[in-house]
Amino acid sequence: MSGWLNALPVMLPLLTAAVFARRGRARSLAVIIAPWLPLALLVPLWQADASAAPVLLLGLRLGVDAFSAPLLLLSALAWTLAGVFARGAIRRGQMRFWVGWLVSLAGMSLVLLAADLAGFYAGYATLSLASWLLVIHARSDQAWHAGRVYLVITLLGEMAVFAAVVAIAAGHGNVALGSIDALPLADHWRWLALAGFAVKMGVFPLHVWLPLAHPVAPVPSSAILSGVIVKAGLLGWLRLVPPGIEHGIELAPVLFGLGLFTAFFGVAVGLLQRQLKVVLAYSTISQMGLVLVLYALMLAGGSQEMAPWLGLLVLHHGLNKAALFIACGCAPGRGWLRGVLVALPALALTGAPLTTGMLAKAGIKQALATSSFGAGWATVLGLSSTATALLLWHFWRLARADRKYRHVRPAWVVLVLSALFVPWAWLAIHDLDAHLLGGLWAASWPLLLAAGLIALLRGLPRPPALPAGDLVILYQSLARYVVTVLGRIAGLQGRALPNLHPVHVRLNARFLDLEQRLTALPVAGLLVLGIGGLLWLFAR
Amino acid sequence: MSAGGSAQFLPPALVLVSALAAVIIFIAGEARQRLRITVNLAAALLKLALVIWIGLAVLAGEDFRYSFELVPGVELILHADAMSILFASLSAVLWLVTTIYAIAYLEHTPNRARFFGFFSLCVSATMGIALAGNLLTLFVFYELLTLTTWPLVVHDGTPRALAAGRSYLRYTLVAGVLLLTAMIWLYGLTGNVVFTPGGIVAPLVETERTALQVIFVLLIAGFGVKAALVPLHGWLPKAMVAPAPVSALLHAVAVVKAGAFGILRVIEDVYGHAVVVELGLQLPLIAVASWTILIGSLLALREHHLKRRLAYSTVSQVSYIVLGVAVGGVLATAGGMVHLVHQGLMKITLFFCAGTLGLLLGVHRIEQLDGLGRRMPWLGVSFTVAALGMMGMPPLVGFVSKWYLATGALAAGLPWLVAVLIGSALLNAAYFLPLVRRLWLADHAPLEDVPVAINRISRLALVATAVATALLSVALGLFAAHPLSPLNWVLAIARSYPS
Amino acid sequence: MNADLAVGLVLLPMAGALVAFGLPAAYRRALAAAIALGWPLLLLPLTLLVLRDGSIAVVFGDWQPPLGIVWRIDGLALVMLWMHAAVGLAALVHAWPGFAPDRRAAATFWPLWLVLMTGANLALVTADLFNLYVALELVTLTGIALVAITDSTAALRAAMRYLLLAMLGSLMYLAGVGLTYAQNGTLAMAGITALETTPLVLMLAGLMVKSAVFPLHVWLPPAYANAPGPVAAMLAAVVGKTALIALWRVWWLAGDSASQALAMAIGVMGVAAIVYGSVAAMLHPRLRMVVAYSSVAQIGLLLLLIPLAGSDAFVASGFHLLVHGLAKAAMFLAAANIVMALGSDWIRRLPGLDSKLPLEAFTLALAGITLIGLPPSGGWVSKWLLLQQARSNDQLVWMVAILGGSLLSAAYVFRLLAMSCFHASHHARRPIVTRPPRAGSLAALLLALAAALLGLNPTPMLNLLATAWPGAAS
Repeated sequence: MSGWLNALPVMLPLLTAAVFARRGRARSLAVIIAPWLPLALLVPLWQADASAAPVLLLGLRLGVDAFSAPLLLLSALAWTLAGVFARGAIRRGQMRFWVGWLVSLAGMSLVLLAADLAGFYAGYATLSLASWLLVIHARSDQAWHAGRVYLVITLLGEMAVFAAVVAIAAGHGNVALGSIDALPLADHWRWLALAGFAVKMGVFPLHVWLPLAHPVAPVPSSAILSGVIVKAGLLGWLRLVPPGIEHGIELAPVLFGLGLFTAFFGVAVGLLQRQLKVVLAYSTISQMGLVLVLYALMLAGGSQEMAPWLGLLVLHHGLNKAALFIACGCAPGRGWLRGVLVALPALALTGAPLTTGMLAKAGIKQALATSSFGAGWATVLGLSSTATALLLWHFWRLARADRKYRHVRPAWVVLVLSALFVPWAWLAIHDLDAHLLGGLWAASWPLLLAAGLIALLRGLPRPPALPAGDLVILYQSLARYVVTVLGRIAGLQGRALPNLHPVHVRLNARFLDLEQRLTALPVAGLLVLGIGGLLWLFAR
Repeated sequence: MSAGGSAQFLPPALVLVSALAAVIIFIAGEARQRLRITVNLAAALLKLALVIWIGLAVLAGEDFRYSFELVPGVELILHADAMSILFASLSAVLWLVTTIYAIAYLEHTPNRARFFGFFSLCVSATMGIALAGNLLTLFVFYELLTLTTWPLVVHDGTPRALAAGRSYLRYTLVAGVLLLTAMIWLYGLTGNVVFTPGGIVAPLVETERTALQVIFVLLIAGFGVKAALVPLHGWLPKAMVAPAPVSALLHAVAVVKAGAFGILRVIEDVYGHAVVVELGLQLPLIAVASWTILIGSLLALREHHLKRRLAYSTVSQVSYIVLGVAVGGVLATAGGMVHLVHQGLMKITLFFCAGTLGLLLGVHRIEQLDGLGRRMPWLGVSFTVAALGMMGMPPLVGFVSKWYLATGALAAGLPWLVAVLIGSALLNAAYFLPLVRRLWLADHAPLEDVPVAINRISRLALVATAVATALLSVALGLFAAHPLSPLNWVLAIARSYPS
Repeated sequence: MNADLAVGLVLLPMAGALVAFGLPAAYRRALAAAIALGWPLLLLPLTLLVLRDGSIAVVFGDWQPPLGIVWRIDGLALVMLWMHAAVGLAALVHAWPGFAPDRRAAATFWPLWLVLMTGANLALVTADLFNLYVALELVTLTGIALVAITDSTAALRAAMRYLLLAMLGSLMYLAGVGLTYAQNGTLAMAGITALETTPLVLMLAGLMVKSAVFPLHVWLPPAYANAPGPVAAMLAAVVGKTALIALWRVWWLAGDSASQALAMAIGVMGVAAIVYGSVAAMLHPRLRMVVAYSSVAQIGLLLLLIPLAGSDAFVASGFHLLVHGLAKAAMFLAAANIVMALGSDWIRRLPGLDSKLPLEAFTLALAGITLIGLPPSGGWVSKWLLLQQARSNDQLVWMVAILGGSLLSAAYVFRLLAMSCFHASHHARRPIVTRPPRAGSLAALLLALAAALLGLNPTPMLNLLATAWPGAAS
């Protein structure tokens, strides 16, 4: 009966966004309401009923399951807090900011809640396109550039997703998402889906938009882009290529390798960056590599038992990363309190002992232990923590240098606190065994190693800077080439049929000449006889 | 079950309503503005009511057939089946909207009686096309449509308009000749070409293979001119010099749709999809449609004139219909047919917006769109919705079509078509998103109002019609699964074809 | 009902003409009107007879052929007679104010008009080659006189050229008739059993001049374009057509003795006429010349009956003769009004016509559509049937010619329409010189409407025409 409540998180932001079409009172009211709307995501989490609206779209169904529950929680918390921050921080271009913000939220909500294929895709497409507004908010040259890169790569990814979605629908119609693991599907479609969602996740080599978009987007937008929206990609993987599919074991090794590579690649390039938010973007890329590793392990394991661990990882990264991005907007270099507020989430991300990061790492290691990949990879995982620690040290130094005059906003504090505690609560609720004591050493040595490295390398000269977005230069030249070729093709087809006008003019002159001659009486008479003669010849 | 008595006269009545309106408008002359508006609106409403009446009756299983002998052995048949209703209802609804728009757009200009007269005749011809029960009837009304739209294309009387009209005639009359040739031939082979689901030529496939192939090509070329299949599309971008209501009529209500509808009839009801496949004509047709889809979009990308860009977009989008029907199978056929409606709604919205911007602000090139979204928010939102729909953004109508086309292509074992659809969607994004960006995100360019003698009510109507069609395109997408949605209507049609 | 009524078809106008010459000028117009109005009354019982019996034969005195003069009214003749009646009546209405008794030309116009009708009717009903000659001479000469009736230099020059060429044609025809008589000993068509090549070709060539087959058409455009409106209408609908029917009849007389090659040659001439006439109409800068050249093209189309040679083609051609006659007459009447109103014949002066003379513009449009053969006009029916015949004969060349011809005609018709209704030009604002009488406009419009609407239900007419197909008997 209360199924319509599930639709609230989708409907409310859209309705509020519509209000922004008008100026004046209604708009100021909407600005007050807007930040709190993500809290509506808690409603479906609370009541956890599935609902269906068979006349909507292609038969829309909404519901919550083990995959989407942690993301709902994350979105509700991070998006709300970032929104509250944004209300104070966004002064110019309110309309485009809030419309983008709210429509993205609606899209995200639909992604999280949809239980059917078409509904999920609808939410994903809405989210992808609306986030563009968040990226280009500043409307500077850099912002337009980042926006263009984001849009092109996102649309390409979305189309890959579309292909996979219709491939599923071609045989089975608009199926329930929960049943996809049992459906037969050729592997290349699965790869398309994986690649399409990887764009959102920022997996190498599709990560280029993240380092471009984050520095130009407003602080709260970066926070949700990096903390929450990237997770839509993960959900996409879980939905379209869920653990438990037939060939999961064959897909897993490639993904596992790619995940590890991304984790180190992100750090390596991030260390060569000078801008605070770019460094964080590369950190996100690196962390998504780890998420990919866990996903690959689940795929290899063929079961969904690890879902709560994945949820933990997602909550941990999402909240902490959002907190760090918000920090960028609060002059993290001023005073010790701000130092603490930066250090807490940063440490958590490195996986320091007794932080939520340690829990997340423990989850990955558990999955690794039960998988066929061999325990040796645990060391590599440890090394990735070292790498993350190096990157965040780099971040720390950049952050402490930022001493502009800015207020500490309460939203930041609350976000840091929730990042501290919520994953623990998650652990408790799901009754997960983190092997806390046994994991202490495993969590500690990478940090010690990192500290040692930092001490060793301290005196070295600064490495050269790398442009943000690394591979994007390559892609751009490729795109330019494609555009040239397409232009040539279009040029070939440009004129359909030639214009007849000049022919017309020439004909006119000729005709008048001919008619003059025919009309002369002697000619006419001769013609009569001539035609008669000709006919006579034919008649013989 | 056959409808008895007076109900048999419903199909001709449907055709004649607007013809009658045209006669009244012509006779009333230029000065009788109020009468003209009343007649226009009354005819549009009456037509809509009749379409609904017939539609419901057809839904209930009634069969309307009205025929008389035109030439010995050749009948003119008006017959209402589900597909007729699809096209007729689209035209009737959009005609009502377009009439309102046209009244607001044109009532301050000269030669209105002529314009609205031909406008009504045009819709009359379109209804005839929708209700045609055999190829000959379809042809007759198809030619009538050519005849009645030409005065609208050249309405402005400028050299460019006249050139566009010449181009239009060149293409369409040659198309008429091709059709006539094909038809004469086909009638010679079969005796009579009554539309029958599944086609009528199957018995001839063995003996007359080549002839059937040639006839098919002729028929597709003949209808393809109006459907603007590349390379027969040249007239369409030129014809955008006509006033905006005419563009709406050409692109959404009648003309290109008539072409696509003709192709639909040929494939489903004359040849039958199985025969098309059997004759080896399916893949060439798919190739032409795909090529058109991609090239149309590429050409649109090159255009910086707003209406011309929209025109090329039509070239591309209308071929979705052809593509879907050519691919065949329930899903793709439904996807193609439903795009008849969906493309109409989206494109008419776009042309309404473009026309209004041109009329009130003198905006003709896309560079001039900067910041206009905030100046005319309702219009901007409508335009945005329609443009996003064209890209296939869910939950708008374009998405529904694309979904069914893509799943249909895969179900038919043609996965490369998904690449075509995706390529087209990307190109659509490439030429529509910059417009949307300019509307909302670019800084406001100082534009003077064009001094036109348009009153408040007309201004309101210009915007309200666009908003209405945009809303409709949202609603039909959002409620695509509703039992009475066009989607379910065409799914029922597609299922009725022998597979 | 008596078949002898048919005599009235010729006698009535002839007597009228004789009386009219004797009457004071003031009453001549009224007499002509009375005869024109009485005509349908005469035709009606004959129509019923033809519908019942298929055809009527009228024999004079008690002499049977080959001695007696025999008339024969078949479906084709009947349809054409009705067309004469309709066009004659419309022309009369149109000419009514222009040739009012106080005008100088009126005194000769009305009697000549009656003579023209006499000759035209006689040419249709006669079944005798010499009689046909007489009738055609009558028609031609009165036609020439009527062209010259306005006294303008251009008209006189046109009439002179017409006269000279028509004489040449007549002589050739007469020579052919003489040779035929020498061979067969009779001139009654029913009695002619064999037709040698030479007389056949002579007669055909002569009739080709008279019916203005390209390239022997040169008399036609100036004559039609410079004649007064009603005269041009009569010339186009009546004079040209009777010669063409005569040509068909002579061809059928030849029967199997005519070679296939000759038929082809005539077909080629037809195609040439279609192309040339249409191109000329497309290019010519004067309105009435355009309409006249369109006649040249249409005559070419009608010539295709000879190579097509089938019942469908016959029915189609007969029907086209009717439709084209009506449409062309309508166009000439409308064109005359336009010239009167605008004070000029130039096409570039046409813009704004639709607001100045809406009826004329509409007439031009309707008749034009019929000429192109766009459905559902009458022209479309004949095009359809001709194409059907060509297809069933597998004569693709003629098919292409017919279709190409209709495209070419579209080119000149739409040129006129675009210019007159849609072209924005300063000419559009020029005032009207003289407003033409409304009755004439309506008469033209009615003819055009008839031509266009005939396409809606042509079956009875087609069935009637089918009975006259000479191939049916053999």
